[in-house]
Amino acid sequence: MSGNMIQDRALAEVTEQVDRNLQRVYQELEREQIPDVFARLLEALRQKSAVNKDAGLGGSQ
Amino acid sequence: MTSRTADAQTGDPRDQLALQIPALRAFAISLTRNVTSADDLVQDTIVKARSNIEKFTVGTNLQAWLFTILRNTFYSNLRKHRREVSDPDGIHAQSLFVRPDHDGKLAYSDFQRAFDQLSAEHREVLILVGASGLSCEEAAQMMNVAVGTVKSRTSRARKRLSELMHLEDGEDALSGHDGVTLAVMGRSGIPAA
Repeated sequence: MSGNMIQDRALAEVTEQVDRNLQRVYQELEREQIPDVFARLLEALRQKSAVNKDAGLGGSQ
Repeated sequence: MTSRTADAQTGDPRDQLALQIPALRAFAISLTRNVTSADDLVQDTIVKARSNIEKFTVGTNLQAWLFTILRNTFYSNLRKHRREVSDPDGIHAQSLFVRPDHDGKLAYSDFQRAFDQLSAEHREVLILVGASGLSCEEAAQMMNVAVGTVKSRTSRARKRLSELMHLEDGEDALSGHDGVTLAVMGRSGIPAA
């Protein structure tokens, strides 16, 4: 195997490791437990939207 | 496309917001490097998204739309508060000295430390293009820059990451060969900036 081929393979391995690590960073962050505050926020926004809709103010708020 | 993404393509986008929170938090944490700040940022993003939901086109990429709101909010806050320590030359980051361990693997904890030393701009582009699954075109639209800018920014971010991990100094970083940086920089044939 030529020196260039060995080098190319080494470079490709490092590239793959970096990419795997990047994906792992993201996936681990994605798997973190979601605080309850978000469920409460979404519910509050949903209720506010429903109230506005009932009052004829539109449903997007 | 994941089922979650597919679900987000249909129906009332308001009902899909909860499903997007894990991805939003992951992106926010990678930007802010602080969970509390990230949660504040995601909450701001959700409130803004709900308030402007009529501007979202059903059938398009909800996650990309939310990421756009989140990053705009992040940079707007940054301009307001000037909280981030500027380290354009990576001087602060130079304290990091990491190499692949003896079996040639890039230790994950070392990688994380190097990643955390990147600028927000570099973390952002690597997460968007390298990890979250967005295409360069989607990332460019999000960041309101040309696709070529995304590619060159990705290259620079990879180069910086390799510098932080000291893979660029031409020594035997992996198996006795020079130029490991080229691999870190050269994914998808993107030329070094």
